[in-house]
Amino acid sequence: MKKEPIHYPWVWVGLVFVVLFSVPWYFPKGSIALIIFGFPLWAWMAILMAFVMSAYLSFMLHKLWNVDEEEEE
Amino acid sequence: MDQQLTFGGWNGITILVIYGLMMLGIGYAVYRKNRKAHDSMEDYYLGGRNLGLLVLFFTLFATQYSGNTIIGYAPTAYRMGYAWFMSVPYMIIIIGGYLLFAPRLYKLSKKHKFITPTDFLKHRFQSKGVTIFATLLMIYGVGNYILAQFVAIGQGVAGLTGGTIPYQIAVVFFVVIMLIYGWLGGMRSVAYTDLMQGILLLIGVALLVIGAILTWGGLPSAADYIKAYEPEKIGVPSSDLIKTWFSMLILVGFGATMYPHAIQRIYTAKNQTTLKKSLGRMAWMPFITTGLVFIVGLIGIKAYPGLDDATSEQLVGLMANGIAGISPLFYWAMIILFGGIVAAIVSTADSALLTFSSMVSQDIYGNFISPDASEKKKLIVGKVTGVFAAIVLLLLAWYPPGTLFQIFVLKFEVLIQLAPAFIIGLYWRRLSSGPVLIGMIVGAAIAGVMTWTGHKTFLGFYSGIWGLLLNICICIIGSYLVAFTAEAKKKVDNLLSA
Repeated sequence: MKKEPIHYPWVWVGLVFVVLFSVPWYFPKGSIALIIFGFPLWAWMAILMAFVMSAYLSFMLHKLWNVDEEEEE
Repeated sequence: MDQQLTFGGWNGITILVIYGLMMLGIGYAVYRKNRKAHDSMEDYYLGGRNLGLLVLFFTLFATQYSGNTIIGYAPTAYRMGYAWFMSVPYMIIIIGGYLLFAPRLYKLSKKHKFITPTDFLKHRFQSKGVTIFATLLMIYGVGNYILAQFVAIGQGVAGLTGGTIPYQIAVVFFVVIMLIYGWLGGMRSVAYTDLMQGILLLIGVALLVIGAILTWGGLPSAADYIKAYEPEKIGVPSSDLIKTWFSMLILVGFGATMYPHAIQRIYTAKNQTTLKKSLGRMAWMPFITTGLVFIVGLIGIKAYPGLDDATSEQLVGLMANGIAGISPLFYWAMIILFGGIVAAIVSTADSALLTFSSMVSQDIYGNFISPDASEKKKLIVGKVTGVFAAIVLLLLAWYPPGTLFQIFVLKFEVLIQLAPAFIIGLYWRRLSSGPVLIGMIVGAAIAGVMTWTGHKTFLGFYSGIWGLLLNICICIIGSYLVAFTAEAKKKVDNLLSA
């Protein structure tokens, strides 16, 4: 059978880490610190990780889900 | 709160009527082109399994993002602050949820001609118990979801037109239109109207955020205000909010993919490449939908400070009114936003209603009541039941509960209990029907009891997640306790071979 994303366990482990670090639990609670263009630093990190998430999922879709052209009508 | 709303009245009514006519027009055109659709369930409920990229993407998009995305999420950002950014990643991670099972399920659905999600469960587990309970859970989840959309139509329209169009009339008007074009063209009507509705949604959101920035200043000035007057909304989120963030990622990531009308859309794709590309685009949409609405909510903190929870639910109406007062250009921009919001709601409701009908046709009537009935007969039963259900839900919608966000959470708790059956069931041959059924029942019971006794969360995590945890344990441990012969393995191998 042609490979599907489910066949690559380590990629999923990677995704779990991306999701884990997309949530700002590692910043000291309550602190505001720097605000740049309306977002505090912790929010910029969350935004960055959201982009990483989308890019990672796009990668999984396009590179790991192989479609056999002959199978398609 | 009585406000002199600048727009509404006849302009609002005009837009609604034009919009309704457009939907009917599309529905009628689809009907004319596909008259045979009423003889075949595959044709009527799944558009002949032939949706192309543009239509599939927009129906996935417009169905996923409902009225709640605009009307409910902006107030949530207003109340919660920057932590509500979570609404972007938790919508993105849904695609991760799909990746777990969509590729395989698509292949199987084509091979075995699945119409509803339950068709897969019936095929895989060959168990009356699993089939019945899963159908019940899905009907409940979808019914609840449709109800939420009806409530949103009424609140949205009444709020945005300052009550010129009363709540009840707004709901009835759009439900009737939905029923007509849905009846006429099935999935094709729904998908093509979704195309139009999805575009309106995007335009509406863009106009809202641009209007808000031009009226009250951009995020930097809102941030300064929030830092000065409500710093807890901009500081690093509290432990409770962090737990909510993780909860939502899990709940929505798995739960949203388990929506029956979302699973059905997997079945409708023309081919795998179309499905792949559609999902790929969906992975980026949250930035320009929930992301922009989130920013609007934050600007709202500065624009309309100090609103209590109940009034904050009207935030989008208040802000749209404020923006509309600037100039005629902005006025009409907000009228278009108004159309976009209604579009978002209707595009979700019509999909859910159609799936509801398909489940009645196939899973209830076709499965248990009259298996030998013709496709045409099953279709009629589904369609008529759909109309009755819509009427019942419409009556329920006239007495709307709490704030919109709470309704949203209740459905996931229950639908997510199907995830093990689908996701584990697709790959693990040993997963057995008995444990699956018990797991589903226990999971749903936990979620239900916890929520209804007022314990929506335990240790900061939603009841649905606790239910899912126990559900998975029962599925796995239970399946190991059940004897698994070589013959059984061969049988399941056969069922699951794509």
